[in-house]
Amino acid sequence: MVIIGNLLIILSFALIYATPLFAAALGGLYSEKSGVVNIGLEGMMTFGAFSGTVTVLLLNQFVGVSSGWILFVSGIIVAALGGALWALLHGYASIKLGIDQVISGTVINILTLAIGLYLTTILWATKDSPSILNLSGGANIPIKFDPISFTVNNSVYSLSIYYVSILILLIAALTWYVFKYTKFGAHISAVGENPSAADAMGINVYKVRYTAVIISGMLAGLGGFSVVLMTSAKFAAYVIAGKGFVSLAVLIFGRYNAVGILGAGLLFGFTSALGRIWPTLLPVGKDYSNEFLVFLSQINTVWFLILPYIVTVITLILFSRKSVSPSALGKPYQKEQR
Amino acid sequence: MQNNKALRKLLISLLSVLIGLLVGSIILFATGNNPLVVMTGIIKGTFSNSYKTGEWIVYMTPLILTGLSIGFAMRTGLFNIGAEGQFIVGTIAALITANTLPASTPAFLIATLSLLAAAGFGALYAGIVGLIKAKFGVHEVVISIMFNYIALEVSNALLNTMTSTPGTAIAYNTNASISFPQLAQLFTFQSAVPRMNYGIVIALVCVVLYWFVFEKTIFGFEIKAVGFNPFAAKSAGINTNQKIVTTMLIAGAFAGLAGGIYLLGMPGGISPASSFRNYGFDGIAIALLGQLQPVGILFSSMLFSMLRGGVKEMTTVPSEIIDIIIGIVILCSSIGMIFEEKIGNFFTKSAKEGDE
Repeated sequence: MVIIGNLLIILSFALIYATPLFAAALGGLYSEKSGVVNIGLEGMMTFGAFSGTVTVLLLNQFVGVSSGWILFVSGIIVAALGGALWALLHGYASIKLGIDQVISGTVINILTLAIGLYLTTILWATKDSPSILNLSGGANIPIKFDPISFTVNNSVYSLSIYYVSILILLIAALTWYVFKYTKFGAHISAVGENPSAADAMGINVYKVRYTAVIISGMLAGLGGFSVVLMTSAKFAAYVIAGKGFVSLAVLIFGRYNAVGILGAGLLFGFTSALGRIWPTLLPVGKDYSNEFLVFLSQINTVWFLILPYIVTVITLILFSRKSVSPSALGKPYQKEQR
Repeated sequence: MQNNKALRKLLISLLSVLIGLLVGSIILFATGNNPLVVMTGIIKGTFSNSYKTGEWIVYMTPLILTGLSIGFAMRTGLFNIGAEGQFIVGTIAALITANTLPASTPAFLIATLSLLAAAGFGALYAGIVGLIKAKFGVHEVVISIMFNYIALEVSNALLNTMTSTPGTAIAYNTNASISFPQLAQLFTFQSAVPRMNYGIVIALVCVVLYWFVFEKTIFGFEIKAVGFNPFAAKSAGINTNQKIVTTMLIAGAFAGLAGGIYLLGMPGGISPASSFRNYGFDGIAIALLGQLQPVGILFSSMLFSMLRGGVKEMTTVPSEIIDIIIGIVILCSSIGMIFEEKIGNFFTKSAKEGDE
């Protein structure tokens, strides 16, 4: 029972770590499929986390005790809009002005964190926002439910499912459908592979790219706010801290498709979860029955932390020969260049 | 023509800084703060006494080198976002070298070898990225970002194995110190002694080297050609893959050296970091603002050191205002570079037409 319990805990943690990566990587999928590199995912996540948190905290003063769901939904909507706002800037700079897409993304990463922390300090006089749990208005934001839960030797083991995870998994299914079966999905891919040919076929390259980039901002914003909903409960400098960059790795490791992204995201989630609970599962110095367990208990958790990065690098190298990245990725399209 | 171009570049950079400061001031004003606080902070934080001027130079030193690192790579069309990781590798390489060399080694030799190790391992770390890019065509940005996190996590783990109380600072063999007491004395204010070190001399030499490579050597000409148009360079007989690897090695050496100087230039050693120290990331902004020119990078490092140092004087406003200004400055200078290219093309075109 204890083993099953621990597995449930690992699974819950894996979902917590993987959910924001799913969302942002799916966002990156739209953008990069259309030919626009999105290094700015990190910043769009940051701003999503910030704007969602602020919305919940400010709106809380105007709604009643029983309006947890209203706060949940409005937080998510504003987080998505917050991400989209920066995507719009990224789109304008890289699609319209033709600035290097990596530079434009870097600017977004710097500005979003700085503006988020600046405004947080202006609003609450500290760099960490107040918590979205225990709101002053008394409303409870719905966070998760535990479909399985049991107690062994006074320790509670449960599987936790977060509402925001369900939403993001639904979006993953929708994204898979969009790219597999819809005209819009086909247009995005066409624009990313060969913009000139797409243009000749009557597809508006700029419009498709703008739409794709804005969707990527919305999903990244949602992913950023999901971190607040599932772990941090507030906005602070360390909330996103690299998750956007990891999402890029998930996107590439996931071979630019929705199913692959779920697989790659779960791998990152599981290794992070293992690293997190390893010291509690196998504490160093305990009296173990055999040598192998002693060895396992002494594994430095740094290996779990870096494993996903190493796996990503190796995968990138192995699969590079038959490249799956869109052909026109990173290249600004200028109509008169034909 | 050449002079005009340099002048336009200078104007773009100055204008970008002005717009950045202006937008920063507007944001301060709109959020109920004194808009002049940034300007006064910069001046007070840098020039109010000689100690602060000394510390300004200390902070500037690694920035010059990371700026050169990113600038060098960008000249070849490579985006070395991995300077942050190479910086970390540099600090660790210097630390381990300084602490494992036999105690009888002369102090000068320990310091030199430690700095060489920092540059060497930084170069190696970046070189792997270059090799992967050249051999397999994987985008250097993604690999570099992975490498940054690997460097951060592994260096923290390594530092924690060197002490019985994880999280504390690891001191380095003080014989490896590159402190410059005579210079520090010059900048001492009352009892405050700035942490002056020989790093600034090394950094300035590197600025000259950078200039020399691009202006006076065939190698510099070739890597510029690769950055300008890799396909044309290839058909002109330049081995582009080899240039990519060599460029990354050099860029990594600059960033690694920055890490070594950061460690050995300051007393006290180094503790595990929960997040990046941002010298590498600031280097991106510095290289862009300096328009990849050696003197430009030197001057933008000075400015960045002023901005970062000035924060300490701006206690009444959130320190993030500096990052907001930096973001706007990079945005403006990269927009400016696009316009500069277009204007440049326009001028060369009309000059050619005039000839005909």
